Amino acid sequence: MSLRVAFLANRRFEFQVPQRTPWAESAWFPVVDDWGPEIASASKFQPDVTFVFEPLSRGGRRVNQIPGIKVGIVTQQPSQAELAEAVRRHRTGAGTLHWFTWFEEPPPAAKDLPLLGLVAATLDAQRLPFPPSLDRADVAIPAWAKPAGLPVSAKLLPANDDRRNLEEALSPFGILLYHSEAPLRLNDPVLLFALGHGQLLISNQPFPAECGLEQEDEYLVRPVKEWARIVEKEREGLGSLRAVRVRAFQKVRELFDASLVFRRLAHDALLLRNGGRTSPTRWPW
Amino acid sequence: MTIGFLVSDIANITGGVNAVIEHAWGLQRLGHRVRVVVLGQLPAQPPTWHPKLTNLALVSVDEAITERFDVLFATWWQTFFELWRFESRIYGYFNQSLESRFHPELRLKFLNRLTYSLPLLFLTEAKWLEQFIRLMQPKAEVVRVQNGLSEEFFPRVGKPSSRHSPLRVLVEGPWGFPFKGLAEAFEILDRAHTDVALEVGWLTSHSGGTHPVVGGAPVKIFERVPISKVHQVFREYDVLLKLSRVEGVFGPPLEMFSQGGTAICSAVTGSDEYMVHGQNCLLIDRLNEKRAGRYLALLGENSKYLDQLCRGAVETARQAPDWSTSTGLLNAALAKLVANHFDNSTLRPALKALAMARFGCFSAEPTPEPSGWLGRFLEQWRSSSV
Repeated sequence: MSLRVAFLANRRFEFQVPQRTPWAESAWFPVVDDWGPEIASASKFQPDVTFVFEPLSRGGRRVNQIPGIKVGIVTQQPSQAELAEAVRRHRTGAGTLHWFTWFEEPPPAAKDLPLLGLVAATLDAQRLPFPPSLDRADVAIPAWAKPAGLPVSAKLLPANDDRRNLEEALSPFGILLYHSEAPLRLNDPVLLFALGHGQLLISNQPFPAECGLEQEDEYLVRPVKEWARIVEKEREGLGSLRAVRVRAFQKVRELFDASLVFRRLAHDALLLRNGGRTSPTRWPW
Repeated sequence: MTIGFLVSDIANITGGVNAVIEHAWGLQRLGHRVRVVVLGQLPAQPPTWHPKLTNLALVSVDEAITERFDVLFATWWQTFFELWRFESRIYGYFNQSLESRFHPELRLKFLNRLTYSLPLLFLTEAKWLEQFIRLMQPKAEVVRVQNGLSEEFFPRVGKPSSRHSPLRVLVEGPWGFPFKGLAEAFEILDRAHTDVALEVGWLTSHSGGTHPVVGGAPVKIFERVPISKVHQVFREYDVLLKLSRVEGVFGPPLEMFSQGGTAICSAVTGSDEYMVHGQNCLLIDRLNEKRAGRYLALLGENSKYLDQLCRGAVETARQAPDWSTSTGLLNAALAKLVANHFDNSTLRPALKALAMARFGCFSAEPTPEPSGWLGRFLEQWRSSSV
């Protein structure tokens, strides 16, 4: 095993960083307010590829001393000022990152940044329980995804920035209800946790098809008024939706497992490092 | 043993039926009495797409009803609902994909889920399906046997052939099934063509009269090619482009590997069985599907990297089991079950009851009502089998 991969990320990204990478020697350097010590430690690690979460932050701009290829993982919309600064630095050659990934289609203002790919979400599947608890049927709903007039009794999950607390709060349940005015987005961690636990996700909205999650085979889309009936059927324990829960559990591992995703990214970051735009007609990614 | 396989269609070329034929032929060769039960119209002559069909007994339902099978396998999911019509000591299900994913209709998805509601003998080729079945039916007998790579029809090359310019790309799959991702593949090729010189072919069991165009040039179509000739098509190309969204375990990429080519494929269920990104192929998740264009440009420009992938692919194919090995493993598993007096013939009434579920017992929400007969039936079977 010759590849060395570093992850420079705040502790709140703990569940998005793979603990084990059979394909590389890897290390996670959890950054706090001052990135200095972690940048120094990562430099000593001598990585071939470093994944930098929050790359547009003040700390993320200081990673130039780390050897190897640096890939910025953008997980939420940056401020206009942060984005403008990143573009300015890249244009002037002062940028410290070779590549960026974006959590969704990047805004036009980011078009000059070198895009390695879209990474909507990752989850370290090794940390999730196996086998899933498929017989649980208690119902939870996030406080931020509760519709007016919820027709079914459900435990309210409070907003929580700490992924570990969120995962613990969610794990006793078997069904997650989720109301949204817009199509579901993978960057709400509660959704990926629920699916990864083999919970039955019922929402009034689908995920965009390009997310790869299969409606009705891996989660259900129903109007709010039908939620109570579906929940009741699942509680009856007939198992007719067990297949949906099993597939949700599997799909998270197939598509979003952090080890799998970062393996492909590390390979591509190295492979394409000299492959900038060679033609005006070439897609940027 | 008398071993049967229920098939709904033998006339059309599919990877799933190919696996059935190979196992049936292999078990027959090992001394078993094998019957391929055709549920639809029995063809007057065996179809010519697979040479081994001429050596297999294709029988009608009427004929099969008089048989006493030792093992009878359903194959395509809808054949599950026909198992009850035949007498067998062991009822099995050769399950090669989660076929509810083929259908958008809720009713069909629900019916498909019923096929996992009894502890049959499950035979599958995919690790993810084995896990799925074990989680669905913890007490079922599950046998996983990797599908073979036919040495006869796909004689493995020792090393990749020398590369040519332009990059030769083969698309594979039948037209008319959106989950096969063919339209997207041709669109990506058409856009990539402005950036890299391409020569494009399409291997298909059914073109539907479609004539794709890439870069203004018509795509060369290879339609309904007998399986014995398919390797010749693969050898004409460097890269297989396959962007399907649903698979059990991809067959064509491994066949391509055996002929010295590599592949750009979607990172779909089962792709992890033998495909390794950057080692023998390039994999793309759906969110980054358009990246295939970039990979094509890279392979067109970087023949050293293309050759590296092809060498990895050839090695992967070299390590894949031949069908005789795969069927040998199946035979051993069946022999062990028989030696242990495994018998699930008591499932026949339950199979019949589920078959009846197909007929008009659904509301707009196709899940069983707990108080209804299907609900009570499933509850009984669930409590006794899980």
